[in-house]
Amino acid sequence: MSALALERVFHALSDPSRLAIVERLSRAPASVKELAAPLPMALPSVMKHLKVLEEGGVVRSQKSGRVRTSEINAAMLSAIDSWVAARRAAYGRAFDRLERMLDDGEDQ
Amino acid sequence: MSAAHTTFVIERRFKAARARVFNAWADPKLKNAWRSCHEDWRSQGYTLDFRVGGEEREDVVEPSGTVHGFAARYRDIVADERIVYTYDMRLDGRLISVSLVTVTFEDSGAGTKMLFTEQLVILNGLCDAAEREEGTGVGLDRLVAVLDAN
Repeated sequence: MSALALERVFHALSDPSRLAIVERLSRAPASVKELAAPLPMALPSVMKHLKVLEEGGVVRSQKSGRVRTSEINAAMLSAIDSWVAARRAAYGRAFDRLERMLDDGEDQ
Repeated sequence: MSAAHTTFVIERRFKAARARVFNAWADPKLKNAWRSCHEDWRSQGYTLDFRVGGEEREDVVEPSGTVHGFAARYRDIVADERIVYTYDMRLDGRLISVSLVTVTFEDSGAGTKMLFTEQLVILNGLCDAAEREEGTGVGLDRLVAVLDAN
């Protein structure tokens, strides 16, 4: 994934309504109508948010007959997660070494 | 151009008392013994000036030749209780992230509870670094947890 792609992912996620949509879609794919039902907004607003999410590569959609169904693009999301997870993991390993050092009394 | 923000928190408990855990952050020799993360990367020298306004620096070279630059400045130090510092990371001189870190130390039984909180802004070009790191196909639950922490 290019740097640009990840930037678009972050942009797409930087909104509470879009995050709510992502959380809903992370449970199962849904139609625009289904997505709009629990949200305090009209269909056109939901479609606008979906467009941003699609442009960011966070969500994919396909049309079957007259119903458009959206789903999470898990690969895109895991790219962000893996970057933060990698940094976290590096600290985890460092803190493991710190613990061993203290337990072994190497600091004294 | 972009700037994306995230926060993560790591909680660790140590059997050692607070003063010893804190000292492992304050003493340059001890700090350097546990902090470096890649055995096969070559350090071009580590320095730590542990006082408010003091700097901590290290440039590390990967086997591929890529230079990772770390530069921190200490903002607040309360002995045995709290450390606040900012740092940035550079990849071959290019800025990839800037972070604000708060480390707190609390008594926990006979030992210590350490809370490490990093708030970071991720700048353009980080993915080059990210892609080399491990971890693919990680669950969405963890992503949501990261985002919730924001």
